[in-house]
Amino acid sequence: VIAKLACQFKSRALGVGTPILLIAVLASGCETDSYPEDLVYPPRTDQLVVDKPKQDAQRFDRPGDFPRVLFPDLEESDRKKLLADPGKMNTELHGELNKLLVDLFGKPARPAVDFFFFREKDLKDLEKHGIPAPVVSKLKPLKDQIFTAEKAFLDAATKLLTEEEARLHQTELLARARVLPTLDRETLRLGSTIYRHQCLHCHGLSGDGRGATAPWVNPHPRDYRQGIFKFTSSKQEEGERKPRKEDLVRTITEGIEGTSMPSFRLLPDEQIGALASYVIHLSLRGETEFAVIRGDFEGKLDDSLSPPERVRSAAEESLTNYAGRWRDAQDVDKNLIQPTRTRVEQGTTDKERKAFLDSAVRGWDLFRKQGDAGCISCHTDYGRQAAYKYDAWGTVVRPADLTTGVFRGGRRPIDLFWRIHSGINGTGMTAFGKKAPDQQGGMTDSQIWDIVNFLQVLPFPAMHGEIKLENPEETAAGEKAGAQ
Amino acid sequence: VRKFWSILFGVTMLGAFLLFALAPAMGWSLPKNVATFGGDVDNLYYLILAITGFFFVLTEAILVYALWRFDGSRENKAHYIHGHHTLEVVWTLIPGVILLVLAIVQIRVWAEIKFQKNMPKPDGKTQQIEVTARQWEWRIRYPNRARMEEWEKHPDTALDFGKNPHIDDVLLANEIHVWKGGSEPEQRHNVLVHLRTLDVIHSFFLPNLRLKQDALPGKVIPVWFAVTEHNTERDSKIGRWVEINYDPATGKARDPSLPVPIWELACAEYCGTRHSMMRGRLFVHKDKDDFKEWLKWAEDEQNRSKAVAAR
Repeated sequence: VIAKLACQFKSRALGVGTPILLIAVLASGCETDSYPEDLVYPPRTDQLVVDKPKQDAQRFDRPGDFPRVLFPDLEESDRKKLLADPGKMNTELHGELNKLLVDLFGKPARPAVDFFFFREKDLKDLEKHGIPAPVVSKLKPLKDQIFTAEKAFLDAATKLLTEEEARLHQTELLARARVLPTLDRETLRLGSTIYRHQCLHCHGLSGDGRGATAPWVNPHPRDYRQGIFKFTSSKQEEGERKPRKEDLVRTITEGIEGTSMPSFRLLPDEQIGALASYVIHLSLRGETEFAVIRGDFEGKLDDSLSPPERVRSAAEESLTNYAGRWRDAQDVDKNLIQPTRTRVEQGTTDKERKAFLDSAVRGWDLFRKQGDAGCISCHTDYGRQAAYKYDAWGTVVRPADLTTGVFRGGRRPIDLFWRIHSGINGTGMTAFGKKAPDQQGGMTDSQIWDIVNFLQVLPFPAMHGEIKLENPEETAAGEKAGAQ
Repeated sequence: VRKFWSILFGVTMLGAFLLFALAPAMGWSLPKNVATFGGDVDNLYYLILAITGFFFVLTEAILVYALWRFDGSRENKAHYIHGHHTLEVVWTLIPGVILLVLAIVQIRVWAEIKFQKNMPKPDGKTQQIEVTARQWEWRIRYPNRARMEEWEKHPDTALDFGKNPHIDDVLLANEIHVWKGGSEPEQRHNVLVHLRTLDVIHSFFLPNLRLKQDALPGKVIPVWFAVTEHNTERDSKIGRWVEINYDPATGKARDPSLPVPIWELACAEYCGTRHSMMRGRLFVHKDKDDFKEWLKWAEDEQNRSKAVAAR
């Protein structure tokens, strides 16, 4: 009897349950695209890379080891000197820092860079952006004041202006007082939605480059929290250099050949732009967090202040610093690297082609000879036997194999020019160009173009005969022996 | 309650048929065909659909009827027909004959599309591109204008495109650009694709062309197609080539009342976490001149030696 009852019950439950389940599944539909509202950025728990080792690496890290193991070949004691553990930060300060970061940068579902300021230079630029001179002069008292909320900034600006002026220029003033005009909340929100969809899996929630896929791809996804971006076209000092927004847009659009970063070329422009903005947001957040934690370890925080104030002042100081660098990088007149010489192009006539090949030969000379560019000292055997090096993120990279025709920073001549001129940030590839025409040392722009032309020819064996580069292996071996 | 299961199944089946009948009107049917051989593929598809559809309806009807009729309210026992030779011969022979007929009917179309000896030869007229799949994008290599002109003058120089990349070939991710031709054999514009992969197996799938081909590591597989309609024009405001009525800024239609002819290139073989996002698009220009104008733009972009603001 019991068995029979159970049977009946079961079939009835199935009969009723199946349609209900079906309807439930259909009705639930798809979840929304953006992050859950209550999600916060996780505080940094992984080790800070504070320095780079002097020696080379032996090998790539094993798949799956990252991010547990940074600097894979080093002894534990050496490794410790290069890393700092955020878990050892003063608990009270750490708590304050996390609170402040939410204040300044919001949550993943509602990202913000609530940070407004004008430097002297920014005030001057206002006129260029359509704010009349009398209004700008009235705004002078705002110089170097930092506002950490939109409302506070607007109130301060409104006090200095007439009602009409304030109303008329409000949007433009807000845009200019932000770190960058495109870091408004609406753009960032779109950016975070697309980021969740397209980037999260590798680059991680806080842009830490430690997403689910990260251990399994080499090179590992970029960690934005150091504020270092490899491929830039701006002229700032090494270590302070930020990319132009166009650089980020280009990396997203074209992808990075030879790595796991695919091209997002077919996304609408506004989504790609929003993604770039969101990456800047993540980078600013990460870099500020990094700076405060590091400041605490190095005893640089101001002890005379209360803990919340201590953290806030340190964070604001580094944030103005970094934000200023981002702003400066976007200054096309001052900071865009524009070659002063035109490149010798391949052309269509025999004469033009000869000029191009001559230029490539000159580039070849520069490439090989120590003391000039001496590219070969790192790109051993044209990169085919290059040594393993550590980079600023504690991971292992190799100088590029230049015979394959894969150029990660882009294959256009101008991309190669920028790479040689100002190097690749965070790696051993330093700047080889002159920052100013009268600078001692460094290569001239035409020398860089020669190397670019050589790099263009190098991957195509059919052209080696034309520049007498018949056996690169032997030549490279000879150079090496000569150097020793 | 005894009739419950037969009703549930009957209603579900009816619903499925209704959806099926509605599908073409709702736009859930096949995407627009723009390839010369697409019509033949579709005819085969519809033939197979009709045959399988007929037997599907038949078996479902019998199933639902059996559920209804023998719902357990009668006391008589089922009797077994295991080892019934005539029945077994019948249900083996009928599908066998159908499969044989299908195999014979499809061979002409298969041969036209997939046999290498029927493919367009690399010469001055055929457009050649190389498509390299990798996790997770398509990289496409085009000959530049000078190389294409060289092929027109000396067709035998076109043979080495697949094996011999040149310094000035144009490389571009996820965008396949071709131009349209007529549908008659002599007016066709044939495109020959050299299909490769750098890592795992991918599948090159263009639904609008009814074309699908696996890419295998270590092999270069030839694929060809000819398109009869175009979907791309130059947007004079931004100087880029996009689909007609497509707004590249927002990714939406310029005129929402009109369709946007987006012809997708998808990966049809699971290749890793981002497989579903491994997508490209097919851009068909209205003629060769328009294509060459685009190619000039792409060449200039690739040879850029000056910094300008990107898009």
